[in-house]
Amino acid sequence: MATACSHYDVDRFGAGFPRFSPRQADVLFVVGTISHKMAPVMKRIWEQMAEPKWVVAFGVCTCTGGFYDNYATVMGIDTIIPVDVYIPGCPPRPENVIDGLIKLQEKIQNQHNTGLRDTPEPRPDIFDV
Amino acid sequence: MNTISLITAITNHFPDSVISSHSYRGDATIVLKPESLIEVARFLKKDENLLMNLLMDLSAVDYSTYGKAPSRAFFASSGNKVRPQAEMRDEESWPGPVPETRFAVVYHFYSIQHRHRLRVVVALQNSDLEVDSLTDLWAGANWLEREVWDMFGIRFQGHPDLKRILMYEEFEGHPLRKDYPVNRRQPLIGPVN
Repeated sequence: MATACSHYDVDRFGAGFPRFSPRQADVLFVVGTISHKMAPVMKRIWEQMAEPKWVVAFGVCTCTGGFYDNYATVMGIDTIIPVDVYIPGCPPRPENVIDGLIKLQEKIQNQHNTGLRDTPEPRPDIFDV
Repeated sequence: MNTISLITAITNHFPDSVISSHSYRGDATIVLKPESLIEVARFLKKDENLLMNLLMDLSAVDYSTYGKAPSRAFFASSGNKVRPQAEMRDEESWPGPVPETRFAVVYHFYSIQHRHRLRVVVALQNSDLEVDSLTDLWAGANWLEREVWDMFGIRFQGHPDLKRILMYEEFEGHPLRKDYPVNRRQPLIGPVN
């Protein structure tokens, strides 16, 4: 919220135009804890987005599940959909959000002209406790 | 009405239904037999001196591990290195759980006119996890009872649509029961982690 308002003004970076349909969107910001009940819905929204598309995990709950290690919570959305940029924090500072957005822009700039992206790094298998 | 007169009014009217009562830190509590719940609840709502027209909360308690310190193995199974903290002693101790029953359903009533509150505890028999639904008296009990069913697996006799409210239909078990494994995961999609 603060990032979009006048003090930080995300419009300066060409990102202040939310589309309320996934079919018109280029980047999916996943904001907040994702529960197992919500996971299929989020995946469907991601599938509805037209290529090329990017995903930003916003906040520590979305990145890793945060402290919600319980029966209801997805431990990081990258177990379900590929993520391009992780913005940690609980909640992230507006500076972090802008930094993440610029990193995403750099990533898009450096992508192949074909629109193909590098194979994402495999998720480390740290959950075999 | 103050807490003492609240308890005496109900106890005098239903001497056979009230198992016990106490007033902890100014909160009146009565413990009821399950079969007399609907009768007492109707009296609480309709009686001129009580007029408990607001059902503030409806929840349940699993007493199966009450008063027992969690074993170290319990915390080890969660994958976290957590040690339980020493319990802080209370000057005025809580009257304690309902003896020999595992589950209790707890109702919190409030009267908007009289501005008094009452907590009603219904101790359930271990063999029969069922209690009468209060949806006919307080419509707001509908979703609260569904939540208790979802989390604790206590059925409500006479509820119009008793199904899960927080978890998904595919979910097995009742997660707030103390015997639900703390590290059990049932994801709809994606890996178990």
